Amino acid sequence: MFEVALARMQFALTIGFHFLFPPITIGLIWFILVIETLGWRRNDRSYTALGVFFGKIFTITFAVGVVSGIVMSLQFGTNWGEFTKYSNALFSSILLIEIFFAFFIESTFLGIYLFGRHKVPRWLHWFSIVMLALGATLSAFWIIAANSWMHSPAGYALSNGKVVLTDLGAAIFNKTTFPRFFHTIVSCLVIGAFFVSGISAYLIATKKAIVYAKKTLLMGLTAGPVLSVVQVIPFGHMQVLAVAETQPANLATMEGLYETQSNAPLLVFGIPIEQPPYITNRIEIPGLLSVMLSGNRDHVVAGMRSFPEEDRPPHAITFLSFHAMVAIGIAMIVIMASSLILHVTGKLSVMKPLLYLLAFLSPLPIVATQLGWITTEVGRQPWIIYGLLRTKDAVSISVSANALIFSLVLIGALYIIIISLYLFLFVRILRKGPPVDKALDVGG
Amino acid sequence: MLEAVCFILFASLTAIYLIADGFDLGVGTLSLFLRDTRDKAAAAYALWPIWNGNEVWLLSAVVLLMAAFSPVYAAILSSFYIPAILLAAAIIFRGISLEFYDKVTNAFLKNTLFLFFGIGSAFIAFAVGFVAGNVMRGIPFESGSFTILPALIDPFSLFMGSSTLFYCALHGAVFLGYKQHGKARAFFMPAFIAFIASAAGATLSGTLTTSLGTALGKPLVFPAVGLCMAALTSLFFASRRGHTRTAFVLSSLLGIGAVISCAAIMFPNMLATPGRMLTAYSAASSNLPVIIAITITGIPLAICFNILSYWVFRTVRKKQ
Repeated sequence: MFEVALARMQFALTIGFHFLFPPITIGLIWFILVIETLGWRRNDRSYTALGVFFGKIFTITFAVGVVSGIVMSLQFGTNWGEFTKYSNALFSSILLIEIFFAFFIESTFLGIYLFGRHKVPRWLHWFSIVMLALGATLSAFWIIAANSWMHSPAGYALSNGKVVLTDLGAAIFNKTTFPRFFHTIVSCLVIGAFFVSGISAYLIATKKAIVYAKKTLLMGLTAGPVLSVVQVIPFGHMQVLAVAETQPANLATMEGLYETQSNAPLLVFGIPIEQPPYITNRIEIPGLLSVMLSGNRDHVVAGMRSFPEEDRPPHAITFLSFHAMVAIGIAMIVIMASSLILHVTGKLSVMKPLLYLLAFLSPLPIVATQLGWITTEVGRQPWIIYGLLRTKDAVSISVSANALIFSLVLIGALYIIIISLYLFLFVRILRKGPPVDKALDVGG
Repeated sequence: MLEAVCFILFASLTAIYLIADGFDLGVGTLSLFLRDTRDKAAAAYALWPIWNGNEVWLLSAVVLLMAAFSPVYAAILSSFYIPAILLAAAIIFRGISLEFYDKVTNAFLKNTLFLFFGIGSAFIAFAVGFVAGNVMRGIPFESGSFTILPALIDPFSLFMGSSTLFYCALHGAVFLGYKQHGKARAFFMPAFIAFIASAAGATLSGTLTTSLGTALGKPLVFPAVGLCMAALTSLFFASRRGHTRTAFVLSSLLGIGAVISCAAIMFPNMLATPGRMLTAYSAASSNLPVIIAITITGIPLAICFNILSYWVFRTVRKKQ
């Protein structure tokens, strides 16, 4: 069991670290595309300067995302050998599609975007950003399809104690792929909106580029409120419905529901206790959970106690991360909407503390995506492939505990170094600001 | 039949990886010998736009192995747990060092990152060959712990590791020559000689100390070795006459020949572990047609993308 815990810790560390970066790049690249398009079509140097500036942040983030992703695919062999053997070629076929039909697009056009600005025709440079944005979004789709298959397996048959692919389309477009994809991709865009507006606010507050940054501030603040609302309704809601349909034990744990009942209450607040599973300081709205899931108060929702103990996910983590994510999600709507109102009325750009506050809050959606990821992955436990293979049966049998401790420490140390370097460079790029034309703007 | 197709596809992806990422690992290795800041920068500039795409070939080979021959993939990576983790760490740190190198200004940090880029490149090149050598000779264990590490070290695997390292160095020197790098000429001969010596060592130790010697009579082995010899000889002359583009094609052919030789020696065996032999037939997954379809449509597409970026960045990049 100790080996399983270590392998899980390592996977949590590596995926948690990896998942910090691609959502930033996926969100940012769509904003960069808009910025660069305006710069090109309107022949506006300020947009081009901003494109270069956000491109620098994109570059360092992308680099960390790519290399930390390579470790993920190796771990399916090193640590999760039994999973790899059990899922046979089904799971990895989707990864193979991702490599050929997303990674190669991304890596090629990344090079052209970064190093081709003065080398290739303007249209090709613009086109490379389009391809990069599409490639990044596409790769998110494939990896989410593979992950969703682990949540709601489809398109397979069992033979000799292994999964055998019967229908690739059904496996890729399984029940939770689309809800999960939209929920994830919109959260990436929310990250982009927060980054663009937060960083622009910083540029204005520090007088590095006031005229320039107001343009991107408006861009981020226009997209931000819409995206943060859409993220919750319909997409967050759709994701919950998908969980309710495919993983009822997970839903009961997320929502903190013990007993199977009609007129099930929605828990707004509570403090979970792991053993025995119990929630204190409850604030609940009677009947709302039933109504949200089906539109009907009489709808019966299965409670945690109706599932055998060995099939229940960890209670406290799932409950807490889900509720914290929802709380942050709602806070983000408020932040974005009020910032937009303040900006439109002309108050935001003269109130320095508010600008700093907006900049300071820009990593908030990253926290929310991490919490969402924890909810979905911990909530799937004790299964690695829901209903088919348990996590404890999926680890490589032959890897010893001290080898795992070694790798955990090594990767942990490496990631600390990398994140320090990353933050160091990030701050430097911010401090330097965009290349400003003195005739058009202050700062420099 | 389909198993053989998948084996060939895996060998093809390995060959493409070796020639595509080979030169940037090689440039990294050679960069350990660069002192002048401008030489270092020129080497890094030649790689920046393309190294990322080259590395995706490694992922494609790894995931194809995972998909088509999952028991082999799981057995190799969990048995070679420590080397695999070190390899992963090196891949991460090398990439980060190369990407961040031009973004820091502090001279000490800059030099340290460049050093890590060099050490990381050399380590990856060596480790890939070393693990391949161990896989080829078969492993006397199936356990991912520290105690088996000494058992990994044998002459054949060490020679395989160094052949891969020096092949990359040679290929990298040829690439630098093509990019008109000032130090390319000085690197060529040492890398050329070191490669021949280690390849000869690998052949000799493979024949004498492992069971691979009996496989030399398999079909394709001699033609593939012949291709290597021919490529190596012509490479020598092409390089002396300054035909840099031809030289790059020839050193790529050398890499392809080397992979075909190894694949031909192995086929259909993939990994020998105590008590059992995993072959392309016994270890194959159940849905090979899907995997083959994905890979066969994917490879030409990916090659087109690779060619596009090589073509865009075909000339020597100057600092802006």
